[in-house]
Amino acid sequence: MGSSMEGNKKIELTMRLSEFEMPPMQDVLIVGKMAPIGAEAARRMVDILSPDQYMIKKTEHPIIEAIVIRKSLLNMMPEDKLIALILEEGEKVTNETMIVRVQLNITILVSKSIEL
Amino acid sequence: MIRCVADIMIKDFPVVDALAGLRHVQNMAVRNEFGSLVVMESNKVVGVLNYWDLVKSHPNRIVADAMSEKFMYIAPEMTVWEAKEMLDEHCVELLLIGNQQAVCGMVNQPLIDAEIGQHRDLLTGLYRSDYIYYQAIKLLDGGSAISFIFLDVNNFGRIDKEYGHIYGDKILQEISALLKNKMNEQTYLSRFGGDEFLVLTPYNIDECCSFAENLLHSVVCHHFYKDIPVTISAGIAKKSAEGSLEDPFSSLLQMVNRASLASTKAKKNKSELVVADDVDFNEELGRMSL
Repeated sequence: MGSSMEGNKKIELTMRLSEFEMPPMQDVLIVGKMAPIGAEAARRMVDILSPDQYMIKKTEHPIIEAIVIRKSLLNMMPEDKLIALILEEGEKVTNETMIVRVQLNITILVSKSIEL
Repeated sequence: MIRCVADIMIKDFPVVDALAGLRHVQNMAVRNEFGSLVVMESNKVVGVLNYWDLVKSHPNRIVADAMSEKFMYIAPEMTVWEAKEMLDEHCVELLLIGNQQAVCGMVNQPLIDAEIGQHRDLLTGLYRSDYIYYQAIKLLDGGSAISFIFLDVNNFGRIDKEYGHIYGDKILQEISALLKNKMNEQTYLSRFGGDEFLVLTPYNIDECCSFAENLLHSVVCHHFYKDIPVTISAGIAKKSAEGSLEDPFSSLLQMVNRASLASTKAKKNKSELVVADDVDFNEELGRMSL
């Protein structure tokens, strides 16, 4: 007893195109201790795409292993203060398996009075 | 003879590239047992990787993100005792034998501990004489005077025969604990042989004698297991800070021998403590080699 089923097969395809961000990280990456990509791998990746623009700062933190930071940011404010601030805010949204991308805008306000 | 790291080092050590994936290294570790891996990049050692690093890191990472940089280079002639001190002092996991240009072997904490363990007496927990010789050479190198106190239990054979070897062992453990308790940061104690103990001090003869008398006194005043009466005899041999030794290790053996003969003399004379005569160890070694 043979039965044959009639049917047809279709494929639906969706495509989403967007511009590749260069480099694929912004100002800072916060790397968790158990993240699948470590700070050194992240630094090497961006070093190939944007040579000498980022550096690693290892931390003594319970869940954050290191931060990869754009070097130019360190020219705008003291390193220890900036890193402390990133850790303080970062630990609120990070766990040890995550890599968090941070966009950081620093604006310097200068006010001077000049005697005429 | 004091062993050096070249005698115990792992010559055929596993090497892994800094950019290798951890999953690959973990599979390697499952197939071949190893204690530590040396991490290299561009023909240069950049770190070390041990089992713990492998366990605690995400398998997707590269080796460079799991390794530690806690390693140091040492010379092949470094003694195992110095290597042990280095590992403890600097909190490093691995010592590479050689230099940045050429590494001929490695030693790690488990390997050093296993070697050091062989110099520990199981009954008393004290180090054996090798440890004392190492400390003595260190003192000599630092320009210090040294003196050996050789302690020998009187009639220990009789204790063994009369009470049995189990009680004999208990007595030795009690003596060890008593002597250990009397040691300070400058003095070192080891079990030399069956019922013999060796103490190293950096003291001059007067200080050494009073230190030895204190040790003898602590044994005499102690109530031993089952009230077994125990006394010990001591012999002292010394070397002043002046003058260097041509062959330090052989001279130390001579010194210990002289201290041991002095303790035998003390036993015979029933005088508890005898100081060996001064001798020029370089001359004595010269005479022995003729």
